[in-house]
Amino acid sequence: MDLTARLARAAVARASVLVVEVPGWVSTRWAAAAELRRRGWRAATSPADADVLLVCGAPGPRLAQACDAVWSQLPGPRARADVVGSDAVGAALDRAAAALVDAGQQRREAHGRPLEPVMGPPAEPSDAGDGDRHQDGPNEGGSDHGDTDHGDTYHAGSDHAGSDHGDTDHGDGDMAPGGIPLAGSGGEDRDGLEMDVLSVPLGPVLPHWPAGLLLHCTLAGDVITGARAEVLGPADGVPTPGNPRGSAPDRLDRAATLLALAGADAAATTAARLRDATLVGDEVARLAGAVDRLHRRVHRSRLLRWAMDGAGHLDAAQLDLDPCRSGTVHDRLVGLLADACAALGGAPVTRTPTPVDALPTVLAGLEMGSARLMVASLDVDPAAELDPAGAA
Amino acid sequence: MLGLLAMLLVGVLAITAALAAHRTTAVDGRPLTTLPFQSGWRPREHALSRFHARYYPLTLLFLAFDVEMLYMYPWATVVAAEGTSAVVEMFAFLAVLMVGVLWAWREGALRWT
Amino acid sequence: MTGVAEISAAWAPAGAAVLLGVAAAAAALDGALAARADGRPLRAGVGLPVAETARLFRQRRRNTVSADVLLRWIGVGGLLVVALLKAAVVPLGGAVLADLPTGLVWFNALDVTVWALVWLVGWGQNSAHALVGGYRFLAQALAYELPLMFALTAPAVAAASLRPADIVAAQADLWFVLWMPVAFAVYCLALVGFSVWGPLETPVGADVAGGVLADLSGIDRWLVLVGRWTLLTAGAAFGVTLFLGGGAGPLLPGWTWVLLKTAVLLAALVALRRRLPALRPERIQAAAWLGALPLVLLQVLVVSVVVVGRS
Repeated sequence: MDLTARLARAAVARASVLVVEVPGWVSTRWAAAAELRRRGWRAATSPADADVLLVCGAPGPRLAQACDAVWSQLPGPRARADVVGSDAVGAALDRAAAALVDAGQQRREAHGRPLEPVMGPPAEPSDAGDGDRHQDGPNEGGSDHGDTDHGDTYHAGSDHAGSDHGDTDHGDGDMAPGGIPLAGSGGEDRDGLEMDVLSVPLGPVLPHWPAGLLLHCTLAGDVITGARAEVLGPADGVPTPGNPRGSAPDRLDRAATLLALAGADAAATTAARLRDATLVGDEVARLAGAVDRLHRRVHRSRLLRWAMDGAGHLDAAQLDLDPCRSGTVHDRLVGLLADACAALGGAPVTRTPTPVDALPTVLAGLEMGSARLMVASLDVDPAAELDPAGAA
Repeated sequence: MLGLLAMLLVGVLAITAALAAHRTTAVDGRPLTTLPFQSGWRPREHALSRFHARYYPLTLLFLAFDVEMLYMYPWATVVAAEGTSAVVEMFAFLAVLMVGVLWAWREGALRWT
Repeated sequence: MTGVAEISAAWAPAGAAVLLGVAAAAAALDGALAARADGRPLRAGVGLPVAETARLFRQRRRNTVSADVLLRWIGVGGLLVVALLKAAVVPLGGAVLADLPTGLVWFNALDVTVWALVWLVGWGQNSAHALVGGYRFLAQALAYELPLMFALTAPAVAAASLRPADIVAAQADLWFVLWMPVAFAVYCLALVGFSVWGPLETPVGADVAGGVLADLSGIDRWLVLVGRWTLLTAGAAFGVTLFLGGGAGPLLPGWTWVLLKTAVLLAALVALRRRLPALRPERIQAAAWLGALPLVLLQVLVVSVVVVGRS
């Protein structure tokens, strides 16, 4: 029908894309971001908001499972694009656009989807079968991405109503409606109230989040009371293009992420466009001037400083981090932009990335928004922490 | 009054019409049953729970002022007629409430992380 | 006395259409400015509300597992209804759909229902991100609501009436914004607060995966988005009534002035939006209670003293 076709064409003019970056393929994500901007598309905030799932890179088994689970949550019309090389992004998005416009195919696909929810894998592989929610203290154990050999015990297939694991042991539907247990009390809280705690995994499929990072968080209200970090790696045997750490686009990308999380849309867009410009090789002198202006603008903004600094002051020496991490989130944002200026001036500065194992200590007690800003400001580099043997 | 009822009706009808239209324009009129978004993982427990709203001391402070608003609106219409005494009495009352705010601030009720 | 007459209830659909039209225009301007920031022509972004509407009307709805569907529905549908009911008491020049003698209190009562509605949308999805977003809104409302209430009181004191038409008439000589700038500024901040928009949109923020919007798609998402934009528009129109002289203006008929002023206020908010960072509830609490609240109380005091001195 004509109306249907027109609706489809109008809708695709502003398609929303959920971008997943596999550690090591940051350059592919950058290419995707530039491509979205060129088309007037936008990045989605969650699968409910997305028309397209774009996976940049070759994910390892557990990361692939998470991608498949998210794919099952896209409402549809939907299209999926798995891209490895950055030069393939444009064609993949063209195919996605064509698939979205194809109303007949979308209707058939939607009709064939299961009525039962796709359960997806549990974030903690160890409690796969027993559904035990009385978890040990969230902080113990630290990061243990050495022992995750059970990463591929779950089938990676996506869309068949896969509740074939999990809810086997509780026949009591009341205590676990839909096969998911009810939230339980987290014991004595700081405020002396008995409230429920939620286990909320952050990452790996989460916009403005370091690639491959999975943070098992315990939330009491909107405050993180405990966390454990691990890194989900890429597929074995696929060479990654690597991560140009410390380069001008890398610094600008991190600044753009931080600014986007802080809701400073204008500055975030400027930073992202400057990142794209450095990649296509614009005239360096002009770029350096623009980055310097952004740096000064961000540095001067008292409002931005006040809005961002809920997490307070971090003492790098105490946590054994690179000394440049000391200070507030805003200080580190200014630092990223200063590094970008230096890199464009031909004198890149090397910074030791913050190990993901440092995150739980830093994040405990922070409100979700502050925690997100903190993670984005700390210059973590999960890809660099993957040793070939321990990759999950 | 009739205008408000008419507006309410328009709102309800508009939403119903939008819903009906959506059933035909959507790729599938039936909703998709899905798990909530949790970064690609199955939730460990239902999100509906006793949420720890850390700003609960603030709600009490708010309530004090909110009850005060019951007086504020009628007062607003008679200030001009009643003259100075109305102003003095109301702002003495508000000053007492502001002292309460200062006390709550000192007790740390305005921050929760 | 005020020259404002209640018009037939049959005008309600027209009133609703105007509200939606102005809201769509504001969203189009927002899209255009975003397109320009992205280095594309302004007109490339003007179609944003149309494209987004087409996208969401095509998109399938989602039900999250064990969601509280009824409560979610009340919240999703309620926002637009509240915006319409707010707009109904705004005098468009000489005509108003509902000439309530307590129109100001009506407006205030409705924006308190927004507390419940946004929270219900967040709660009703059975999703952790949405839940955090919903409770964030309550915390945000605790910060903006009291300053808003007192900011609403200032024009009422000056006009010695709670009827919007009387408040407009009382500005015949001097617009209230000129001698109540603090109340106006606080009103504008609260306006973006109850519209969950701009710097106060952290309940739907990117840092909680869209928060209250996290698991909504299709028509549900559309209704919440439309609810936010219409709340902003209705609030701007009410602000014009309270502070910017309503339909007062030369040459043109009163209703065009109301629309024009509303459009200018909306455009200013939209233009400012991109430059302001997100103000998270736990950051703004102290500023609201120890800064905005005493300041707006002082404003009401000044207004009261002036009013008493005049009479």
